[in-house]
Amino acid sequence: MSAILSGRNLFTLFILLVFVGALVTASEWPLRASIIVLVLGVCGAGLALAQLIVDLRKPRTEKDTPRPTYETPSIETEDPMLGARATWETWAWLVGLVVMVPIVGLPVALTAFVLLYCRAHGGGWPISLLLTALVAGFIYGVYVQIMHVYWPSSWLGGLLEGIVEI
Amino acid sequence: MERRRHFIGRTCVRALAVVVMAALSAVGSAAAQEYYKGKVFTVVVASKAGGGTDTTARVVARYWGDHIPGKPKVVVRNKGVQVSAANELQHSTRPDGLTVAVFAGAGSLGPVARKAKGVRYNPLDWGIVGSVDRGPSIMILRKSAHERLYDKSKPPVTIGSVSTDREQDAIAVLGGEALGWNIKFVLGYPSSNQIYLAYERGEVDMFGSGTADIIERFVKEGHTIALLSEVARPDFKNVPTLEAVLGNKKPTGLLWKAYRSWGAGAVDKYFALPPKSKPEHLNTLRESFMATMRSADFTKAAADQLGEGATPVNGQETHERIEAALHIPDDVIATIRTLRQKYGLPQVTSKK
Amino acid sequence: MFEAAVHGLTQLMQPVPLGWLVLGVALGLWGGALPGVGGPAQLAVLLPFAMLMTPINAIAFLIGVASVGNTGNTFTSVLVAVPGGSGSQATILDGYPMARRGEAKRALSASFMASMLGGIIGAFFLFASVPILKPLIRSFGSPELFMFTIWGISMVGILSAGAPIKGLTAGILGVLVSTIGQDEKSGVIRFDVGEPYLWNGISIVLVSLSVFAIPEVIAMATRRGKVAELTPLGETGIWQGIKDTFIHWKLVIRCSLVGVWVGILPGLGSSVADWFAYAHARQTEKNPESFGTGDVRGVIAPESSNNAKEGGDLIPTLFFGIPGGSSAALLLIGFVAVGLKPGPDIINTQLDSVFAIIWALVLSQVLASILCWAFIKPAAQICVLSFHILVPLIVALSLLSAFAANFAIEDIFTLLALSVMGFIMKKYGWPRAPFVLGVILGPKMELYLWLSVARYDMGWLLHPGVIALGLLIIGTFAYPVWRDARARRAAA
Repeated sequence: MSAILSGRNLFTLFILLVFVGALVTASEWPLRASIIVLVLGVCGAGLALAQLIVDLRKPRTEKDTPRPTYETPSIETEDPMLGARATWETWAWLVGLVVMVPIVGLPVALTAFVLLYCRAHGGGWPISLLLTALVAGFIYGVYVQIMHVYWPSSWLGGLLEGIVEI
Repeated sequence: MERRRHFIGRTCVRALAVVVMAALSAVGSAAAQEYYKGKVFTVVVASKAGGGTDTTARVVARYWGDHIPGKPKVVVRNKGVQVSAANELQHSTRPDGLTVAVFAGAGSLGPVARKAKGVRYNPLDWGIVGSVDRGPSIMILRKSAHERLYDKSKPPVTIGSVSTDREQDAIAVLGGEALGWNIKFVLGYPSSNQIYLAYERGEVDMFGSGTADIIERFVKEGHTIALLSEVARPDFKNVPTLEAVLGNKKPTGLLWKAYRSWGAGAVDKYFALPPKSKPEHLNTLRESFMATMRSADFTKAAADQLGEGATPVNGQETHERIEAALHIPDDVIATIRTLRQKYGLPQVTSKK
Repeated sequence: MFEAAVHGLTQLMQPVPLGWLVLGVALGLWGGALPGVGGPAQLAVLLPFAMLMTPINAIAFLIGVASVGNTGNTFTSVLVAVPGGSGSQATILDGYPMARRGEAKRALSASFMASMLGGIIGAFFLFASVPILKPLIRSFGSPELFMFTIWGISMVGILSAGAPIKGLTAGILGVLVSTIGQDEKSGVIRFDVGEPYLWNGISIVLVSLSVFAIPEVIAMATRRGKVAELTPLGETGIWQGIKDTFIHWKLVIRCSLVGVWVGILPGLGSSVADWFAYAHARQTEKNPESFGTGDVRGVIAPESSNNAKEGGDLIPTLFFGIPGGSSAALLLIGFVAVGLKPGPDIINTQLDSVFAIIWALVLSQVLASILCWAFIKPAAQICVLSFHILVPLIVALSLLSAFAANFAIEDIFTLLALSVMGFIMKKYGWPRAPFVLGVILGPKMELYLWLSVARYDMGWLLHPGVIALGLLIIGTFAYPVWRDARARRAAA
C-alpha cells in the first residue's frame, strides 16, 4: 500500500489529474479556445497514465528513473538524513521569506533574509553584514535609482502609515 | 461710462484670471517637472510588438519624453493584446502618472460597446491623454483571387485578421452582406506583420491596412490590387472608395448602422492613464502629448512610419469620441453580434 | 547585405554598446561558472534591465550574457566535476580526470579555445543562412510551423534519456500552463481560478526561475559547506591546450556543425549539443577507448559544440520567431521588448540588427575566451564560495527578477508554487527542460494549429511539408526504440 502511495506515484497521479481536470474544463469552451487543450490534453493524460502504470509496476526498491540527459547532475549531500532535514529547512526559509514579503515589503524581507540566512548558516557577522549591504545596495542602486520601481505597500507599512495619520 | 467701467472691471478680472492661470500653470509645471524628473515613464502597449498599435506607441514614445516636464526616461513595454491587456491593466496599473497604456480603438472599445461578456474594464474610467488617427483602411486583394470574390461556387477568398476587433473586418463583412463577397476569415494572427507574411506565402488572399508603405509595397509587386478604400485617401487617389464600390447596393438601416458603429469607428490608437490617476498628471500628459504631436521630429517620423494621413486628436476630443463609440443602440449591437457569429469572428465571451 | 553587415558592426563598435557587451560577457561568464546560476536563470534575472536599454545596447548586453555561459561553466566541470550549467556535463567525463592528473590548465585552455572556435563557426552559419532563408521561410506556412513546434517538443521529450514518457508528458504539461489566461481568438478566460492576476498568463521568466534556479538553490543549500573542494590547477598547459584544439581542428568543425544543427532544431538545448558532440567524437575518432579517462578530445568535442549551438539557436529564434531553447526564448522576449521584430520579416526590415547580433556573437566568444584565459585562477575561486553566501544571493536575485517581470507581488507567490513543482519534478526524475519549452512553444503551437484548421480545415494534414515533418517526428519516436532493440540484439 505504501509503495502505491509513494511520493513518486502521487506526483504522477497529480499530473494525470491535472490533464483530466483541464480536459473537463476545456470541454465547456468553443473549439477555437479548447483545440490545443483537447488535442494535447488527451495525449498528456494518456502518457501520464502510462507513466503511472510503469511506476506502479516498478518495485519500490528499484532506483527511480535515471537522471534525464537535460538535468544538471545533483550536488546534494551524500547523507540522506542530513539532506532531507536540510531540504525541509531550506523550504522553510523560502516559505518564511515569501510570507514576509506582503507583511514587511519585498526590499526589507529580502535584506532581512540575506542577513539571517547567512548568519544562521555559519557566516560570521562581518560577512553577513557585508552580503546584506551588497544586496541592499543592489536593490537601491538598480531598482530604486535606475528602474524607479514602485514597491507595493506592505501590511506593516500600511499599518504604520495609519498610526502616523492618527 | 457705466459700460466702460464694467468693461475695465471685466478686463481686470480676465487679466487676473489669466495671471492666476499662468501662475497655477507655472506652479503645476514646476511641480510636474519635480515629479517626473529622473523618473521612468512607461508606455504599455496593449498589443504585440510590430503591429500598428505598437508602431504608433513607439513613434510617440520616442519623442514624448522631451515634452514631459522633467524629461523622464520613456520606456515601451508590450503587454497582452487589447481586451486581455485592458482587463488586467484596469486592475494592476499604478495610478501614479508614470504609466500610460496604448490601445487600439476598435480592439479595446468594440467589445465594450457590444457588451461582450469577457470584458472586465471600462474605458471611461481611464484618463484619456490623446490619440493618433492614421489613414483610412484600404483592402488589399490578390489579383488571382478577384474572380473568386464574386463566385460562390469557388473556394472562398480568405481574409487574414488578428483576434481582436478591427475596422477592416467591418468592411469585409459589409462586402459579404451587401455585395455578396465569397469570403472566409482566417483570424488569430498575432500581429499585422504575421498577416502580411501569411499573404506572401499564399495562406490568405485579402487583408486590410491603413499603413501607406505596406499598401504601396504589395501593390508595387504587381500581383496585388488595392480593392477599395474606406474613404477617399489623398495618397491613393486611384483606389475607389467603399461607397463608390457599393453604388446602389449601399445598404440602409441596421446593416449600415452596424458597419458605422463596428469597432469604435472614430477612435484609432489612444493613450490613457489608468483609473484613479490624479487630474494634474492627466493635464501634464495631455499638454505634453499635444506638444509632441506638434514637434517637427514627431511629424516627420509619423509621416514616415504611420503614413501622411496620421493626425493627432487631443485628450478631451478623444474622450468624447470614446463616449460616443460606446453608446450603440441595442438593435445595432444585436446586428453586430449576429454578423460576427455568421462570419466566425470572436465574441469575447467567457462561455460558449 | 554588405551594407547592413557594415552598419551592424559600426553600431556595435561604439563605446557604449561595447561596454555593455563586455559587462554582459563578464556576467555571462560569472553566471556560467556558478552552479545553478548561469543560462536561463541568469538571463531571467537580467532581462528586465536589458528591456530598458536601446536596441543595440540590449543586443550587445543580452548576446554577451547568453552566448558565453557555456565557456564559463567549464570551470566547475573541469575543476570540481560539477557542471556550471546544463551545457558542460559531457565535459566532466574527460575534463575532470585531466584536472586530477594535474592538467587542469590544459583542459581549461583547450576548452576555451574550442569554445571560441565553435562560437565563431556558429556565428558564421547564422550569417551564411541569411541569403537562403527567404525561400525557406516562404515554404513554411502555419501547418508546417505547427509540425515544427511538435517536432521540437517531441525531440526534447524523447531524447530525455531514460525518461521519454516523462519528457513528453512534461512538455505537454508546459503547453497546458501556457494556455492559462485569456485566449485572444475567442475571448475565453482559461484556467484563471477567478483571479484577474492570471488573465495575462504566467510569465516565462517565472517559470524559468522556478524550474531551474530555485531547485538548484535547494540542492546547493542541502549540500551545505562549500560547493566542492578545489582541485589544484596544474602549473603549465595553457599553450598545450590551445595546440590540442588546432591539432584536432577537424573535430572542432564537425562538432560545431552538430551544435549548429541542434541549435536550429527548436526545443533542444546545450545539454543535447554537448552530449551529441561527445557521442559523435567517441563514435568517429580513433582510439575511442581513451575517452572518459582524460582525453583532451573529450573536452574539445562538447565545448566546441555547445558554443556553436548559440549561433544555430538564433536561426529559428530570429527568423521564425520560434526560440530553440529556454535561453533563446528569454532572448526573444528581450529583443521584442526593445523593438526588434523576430520572425521571417526581420530579413527585410531589420537586417542591420541581425548583423549586429552576429557580430556581437563573434566578439563575445573571443572576449569570453580571452577573459577566461586571463582569469583562470581567480575565477576558479568563485566555485568554492560557501553555500551561506551563494544561497541568499541567488534567492534574492530570483525574487527580485520574479517581481521585476510584472512588478506584481503575486508573482512571488507564483514563483514559490512553481518552485515546489520544479523541485518535485527534479526529485522524481521528471525532465524540467521539456516543461519549460512546453511553456515557451505552447502559444506558438496553439496559434499554428488553430490557423491551420481555420484556413485549411483538415486539408493541412496532406501538405507535403507536413507529411515530411510528420515522418521526421515518427522517426524521432521510432529511432530510440530501434536503437535500443539493436543494442539488445548486439548484447545478446
